[in-house]
Amino acid sequence: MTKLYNQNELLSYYYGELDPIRAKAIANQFLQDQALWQAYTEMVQEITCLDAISESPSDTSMAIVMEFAKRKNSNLLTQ
Amino acid sequence: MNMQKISDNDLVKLFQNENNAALEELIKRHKKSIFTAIYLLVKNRSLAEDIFQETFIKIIQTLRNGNYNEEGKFVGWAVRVARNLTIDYLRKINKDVTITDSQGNDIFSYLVIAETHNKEAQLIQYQTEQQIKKLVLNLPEEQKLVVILRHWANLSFKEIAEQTGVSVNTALGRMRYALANIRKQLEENKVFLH
Repeated sequence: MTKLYNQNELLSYYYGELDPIRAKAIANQFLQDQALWQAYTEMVQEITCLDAISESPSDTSMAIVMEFAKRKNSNLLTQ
Repeated sequence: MNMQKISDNDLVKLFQNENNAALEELIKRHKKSIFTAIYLLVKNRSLAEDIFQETFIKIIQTLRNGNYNEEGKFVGWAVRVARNLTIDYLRKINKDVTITDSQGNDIFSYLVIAETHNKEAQLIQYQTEQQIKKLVLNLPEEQKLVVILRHWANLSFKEIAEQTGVSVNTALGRMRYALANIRKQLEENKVFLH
């Protein structure tokens, strides 16, 4: 990878946290620097694999939470 | 009213005005992020369910009492509530609560596969996900925390740095090491990302 950009900057770039000027420079560099592009796409693969392990709470947990919300609201309304 | 187009902060205000549909939308929007963050912290699905419920009960109470004064993101605050409850719980029992088999696998994960169709592709995908999950669960704590806070709590690296008392570069570095660790281990186990 080119020495101009480090991995931390690529990570910031992915999450949209890099300052706009630097971000634009990296986007331009992607077109010219195959190694940089390769490093970036590998990093994106690693990040997106995290989505595969997202878990959902059970329907029971959801029902308990919503029931709690409704009950408290009802109490407020009758006061 | 189309709740899907309303911002988190406006949903919070609506709920504080006793609109339950707003809370339902907030939960629907962030339940996966918050639950995954809890699960990765406690490594136990059953316990994660309990803490998820407690988290939202605390969130509801805080919103109702008018004590929510976060200017940042709702989900970041919600994960912080969950994390504090998790830490309290773990301190209370003072032991590792993961229930594992002799291979070190969470036994609750087997229950999930029993409910899926027995197709080869699904099995491979499931195995890959389990490997990734295991790798994330076993990351060094400081790396795992940054991954949770950035990926599921949606905090910026600057916010993570502030919350964890490190520099932005350190937070970024921990995330990078975590990702590199995951890739290295997957390659060693001959699991390839697509």
